[in-house]
Amino acid sequence: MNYKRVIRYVLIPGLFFLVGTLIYYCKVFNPLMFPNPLLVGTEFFRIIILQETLSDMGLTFYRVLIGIAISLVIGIPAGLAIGYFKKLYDSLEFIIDFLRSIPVTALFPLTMLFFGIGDTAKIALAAWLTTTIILVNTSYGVRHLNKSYFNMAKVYNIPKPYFFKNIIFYGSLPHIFSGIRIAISLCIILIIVTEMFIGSVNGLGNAIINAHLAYEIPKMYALIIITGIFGYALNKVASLIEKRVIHWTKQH
Amino acid sequence: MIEVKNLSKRFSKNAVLKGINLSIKKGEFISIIGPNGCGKTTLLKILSGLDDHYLGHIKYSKENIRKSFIFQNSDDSMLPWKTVLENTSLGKKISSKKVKTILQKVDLWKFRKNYPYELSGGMKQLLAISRAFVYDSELFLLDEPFSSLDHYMKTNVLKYLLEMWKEKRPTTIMISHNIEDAVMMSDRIIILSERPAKILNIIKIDNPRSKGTLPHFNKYHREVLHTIKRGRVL
Repeated sequence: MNYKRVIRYVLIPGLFFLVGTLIYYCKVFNPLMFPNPLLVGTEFFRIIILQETLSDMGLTFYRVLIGIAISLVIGIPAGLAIGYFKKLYDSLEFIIDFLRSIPVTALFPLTMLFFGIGDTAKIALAAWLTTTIILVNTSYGVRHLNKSYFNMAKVYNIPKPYFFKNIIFYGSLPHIFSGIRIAISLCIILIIVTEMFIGSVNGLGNAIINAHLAYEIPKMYALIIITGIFGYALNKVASLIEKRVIHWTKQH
Repeated sequence: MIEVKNLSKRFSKNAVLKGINLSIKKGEFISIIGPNGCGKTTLLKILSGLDDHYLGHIKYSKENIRKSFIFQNSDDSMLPWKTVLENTSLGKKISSKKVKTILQKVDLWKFRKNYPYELSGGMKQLLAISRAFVYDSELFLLDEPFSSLDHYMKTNVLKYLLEMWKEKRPTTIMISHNIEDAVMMSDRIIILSERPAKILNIIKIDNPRSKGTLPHFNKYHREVLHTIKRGRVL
């Protein structure tokens, strides 16, 4: 491990911890609101060792994953079609822009009306949000493809299936992936919120709100940190996959 | 091979090409020289079928001629996410033996598993040219293929192009800014005027592509230069 990594992963977080401890001992905030970071740390490791949140994390992960999976299955083909066929894009541009401008939280009551308060409602909201993001990014990717690829395909009479798969789809991948990364971040936010407020009995969001209601504040802090690590890990995995798949963009 | 009659083209209000008449025989190597922005690339695009908004008539000796377009910027014809080998066949059913023979000829076989961004500009342009030969194209359209290459690379690409060209003799139309290249490579040189482009002169090269120095090289060179200068004054 070189010194840059030590600074990044040990020194700076350690500094945050120290500042927290300082704030605690100087009694800047009410200790009930801002507990001793040491206590939060103990709680953090207790939760990890006793694997208390493992099932909550698993469920949150499952909801995020299904939401993203649905959005990929719908968003990518739809985005490719809308990006490729100009007439389709022209006719649908307004309605897509309008629908994705509705804050997804405004759809909570409507979703509950249709799907109740179970997993389906949460996943449906997540899928709605992420599909619009992936669809818009994918169609943008197609529309901003190097025009000469189209010329090349025409002159060389490249077979249509190859053209769609290996030129249109591959060429849009960089934009699709940036869509996926935005979608993952927003999807985690949304799932945590729905777990807090749409009658949940499990999931990380529910665990946080339960700790809050039971006034177990150090536990609440620890859970927030765990949720942060969870989000960070998901984003990291996504960007690692992205780097493997889109090897060509790092060169430009 | 191609008969062009009274070809004209406008971009909204601006005339780009005006009354171009041209007859190109099979196996001919034609160079087009003309000032910047005069419509050379437009002419090439029309001949390739990429642009079909024009006035006049273009008749090909047969339908569905296999064409190849070598773009000025080699990146425009390479899929950066495909290897050299995949970029050569582009999803077409071509015998791998043939691909191998041609790539070996231009010394690109050892890079077959590399990606275009790992190649130099010259190698990419060479790959684009090789692809045209792999496809057995009957009509080569080259849009200033050497303009982005340094002298050494250009010499190299030019050498391979001529070698392969002499074997298959596809009909070739090349846009060039370099009079020397045009004189050395072509059967005929077409000189276009400024916009709207008309044909100023067609210079026929006797005994083209002969080894060593071309007889009367200087004479042709002067003739081209003279035509260009006269075209400017007019």
